[in-house]
Amino acid sequence: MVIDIKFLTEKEREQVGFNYVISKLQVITPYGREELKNARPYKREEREKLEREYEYVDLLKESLEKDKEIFFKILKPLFKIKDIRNSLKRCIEGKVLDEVEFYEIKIFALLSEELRLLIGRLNLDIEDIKLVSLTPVLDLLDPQKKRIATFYVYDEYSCKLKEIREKKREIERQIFAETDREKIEKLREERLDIVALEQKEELEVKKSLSEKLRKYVDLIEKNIKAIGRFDFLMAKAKLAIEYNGVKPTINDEIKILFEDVINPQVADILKTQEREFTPLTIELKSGTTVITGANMGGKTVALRTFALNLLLAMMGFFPFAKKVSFPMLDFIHFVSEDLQSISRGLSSFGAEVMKLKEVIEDIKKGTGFVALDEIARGTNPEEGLYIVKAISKYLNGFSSMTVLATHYEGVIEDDMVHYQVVGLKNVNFEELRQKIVIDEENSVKILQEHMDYRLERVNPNCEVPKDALNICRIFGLEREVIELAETYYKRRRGYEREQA
Amino acid sequence: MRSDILDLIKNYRTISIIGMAKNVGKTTVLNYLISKARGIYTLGLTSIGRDGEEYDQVSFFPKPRIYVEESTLIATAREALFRSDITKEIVGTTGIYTPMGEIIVARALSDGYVDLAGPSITKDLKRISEFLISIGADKVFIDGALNRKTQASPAVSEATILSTGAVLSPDMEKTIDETVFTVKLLTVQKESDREIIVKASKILKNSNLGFIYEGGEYKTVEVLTAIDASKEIVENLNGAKYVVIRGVITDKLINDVMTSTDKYKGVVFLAEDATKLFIEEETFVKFQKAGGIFRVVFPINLICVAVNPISPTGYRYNGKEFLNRLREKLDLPVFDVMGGD
Repeated sequence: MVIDIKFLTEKEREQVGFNYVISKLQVITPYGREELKNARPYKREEREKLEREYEYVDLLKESLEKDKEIFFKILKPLFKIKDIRNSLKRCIEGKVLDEVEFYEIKIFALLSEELRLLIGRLNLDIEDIKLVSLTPVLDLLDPQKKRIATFYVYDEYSCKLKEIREKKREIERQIFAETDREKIEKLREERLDIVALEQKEELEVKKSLSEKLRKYVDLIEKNIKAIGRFDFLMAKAKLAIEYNGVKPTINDEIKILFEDVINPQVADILKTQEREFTPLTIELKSGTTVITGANMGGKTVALRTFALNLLLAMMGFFPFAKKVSFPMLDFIHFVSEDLQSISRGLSSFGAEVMKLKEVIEDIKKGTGFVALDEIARGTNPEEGLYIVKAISKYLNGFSSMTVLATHYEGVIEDDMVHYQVVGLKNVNFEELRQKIVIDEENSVKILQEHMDYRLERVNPNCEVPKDALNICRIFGLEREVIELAETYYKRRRGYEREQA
Repeated sequence: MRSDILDLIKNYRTISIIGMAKNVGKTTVLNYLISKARGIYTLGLTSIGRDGEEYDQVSFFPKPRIYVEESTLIATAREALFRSDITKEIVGTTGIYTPMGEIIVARALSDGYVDLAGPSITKDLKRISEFLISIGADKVFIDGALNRKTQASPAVSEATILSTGAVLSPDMEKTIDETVFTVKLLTVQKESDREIIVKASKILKNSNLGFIYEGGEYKTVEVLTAIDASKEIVENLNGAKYVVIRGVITDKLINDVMTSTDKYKGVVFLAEDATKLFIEEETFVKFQKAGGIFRVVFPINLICVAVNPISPTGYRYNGKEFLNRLREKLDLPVFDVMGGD
């Protein structure tokens, strides 16, 4: 797949779980794989096409649930579909096809007829998946009208060929009946002369067949496209069924709404640990939305989940949520600490700056989605805060929807939306600590079990949760260290109050 | 021990023919079988890898070609198919590719010469044999190979015929000795302990070398190939009951083990199948005398030996004598494919 890096880089797509989702797609035919290979986000001006795609996926989704039996029957021919494009290309170029190529085209035509009838029975109003009849192709490659799945250069194509073959058969009978070795040798020589004639005449027939077939290449290609589309749409619909995808709406306002959205990759990993993905709900308006929250509270997963589902939706897939609404997007960016860039000689912060430059260029030109995952965490906290504050304020003035996850306090301004991970807010820390003391080996697991990953909308000036010290306590960090930290913390608080 | 070759194969559906060397007359054996089966069985034919040039690529002697009867089914690479002069009906494509193109299944609509170039992986060979049977072959003949290059094993066939001949040596006694020893190797005992087979199969699935110990525990050792793994074998022999080796077991390997340790006494060296044993008679005997044991996971069911007393390099043995001497020395039926005996 070649997707513009305006819609995440290859590495980011891997990180957000896009490649995982694509690997779950059950595309069956080489033509379906071609459709997948060429899939990319729809452009702003292709909105109607994108909406039609949702319509089609929806129709197939319904149909899959309603006509299970027909779909089951469709699978068999679908699995037998082979790639004949190279032969078709050769045919168009005026080359002479060989028996195997004719065979494969004939098989394709037979399967295509089978699929045409079966898909027809689904009664779907989808122009893209309508197959045309390939009867003329079949008549050409099956002059005996037996409609069986084999091919040879039939006697029916040429009287001359038929005569030659009769002679060949006759001499073979003689060879078989003969016992004298010398005579057999002589007969075999004679036979080889006839074989040469047979092959010459077969070549003539193949030439003329190739020429006749050329007229029907268009028809065959039309069905190739239709089968590829059907295969791909069916895969999209199956994926939507598997992970509870929903038909999204494209809105004209600039806002993104996710209701109970999930990330299949993370959900599947959690499932192996007998845990469940907590669906997320959020509403993003143009400008900056800030997510704050506890360490280990799933902020990164949340950002990835939004980016993933938006990208999929822009590509005509059903996002995995109860409800999704979004405007056409010109780009999807994800800025986070990029460990790979360190090996390229950039510090992680340096890499973020380079990426931010690109993002700002795009934001000036269009409207898209930007996720900023704890940017500037690799630099000193004082400057880091100023930079994050500056960026969120700057981006708040654009139409694009930016969502920023941060630990820094004081980033949020009154006109920004603020979400917080519920986190450990409602947890009794003493109880939790006791549990971990008893079962220290599973401390991380126990903490995760108590973590509330939901996002809740809070007041812009709602305090950033101070869970770091609590987590130190829960994990049983040296008491003296904690006490020292508490002293500093109180001192700072006191100072701040004085200042106020 | 004279019996009709058709009698010997009547209970088997897949039969491989393997030759002791190039030009021993493997194709002659195949043609002999085909002529015997004519009118009785619908045949399916394929080969392990490529072994059917008009001229031998090494010695440049003209090689006999395989001549089949109408209605025979063949599975061969595309390029080889178009070199065959039967009138061909394409019956199936397999999705299995060789350097000579995809393996195509075709039905002969006339008698004629065919060129066989089949798969070189056991799994594919099995699939193709099954496919040939599923579309109507009563018997599948596999033109096999006894060399290090192909991974596909004739052990997938239900029965195997060994082809030998004068080309091995102008000295008939030498040819006889070599043949007798090859038969001995090919009929090396199968490991009969089911549990060991299960463990060995697990080892063979993922690695080239493994060990099964007294207590039943087993382990694998990462080696590039087992050919140079004598050091690893010696290091892990302590307490081992079985050494499981994937791929070829060479003379050098066994010699290296024997010169470094004596711990192999009573240990079973388990090969995938007997065609993987490339061991000289002297080494084989020495190893066994010192208490080493060879066994195989997949046995070869050797049903007879076919001989060709004529060498294409220009000399011939006394056919009768050759045949009789071999019959004396072997517990298997022996056929002369030239004399029709």
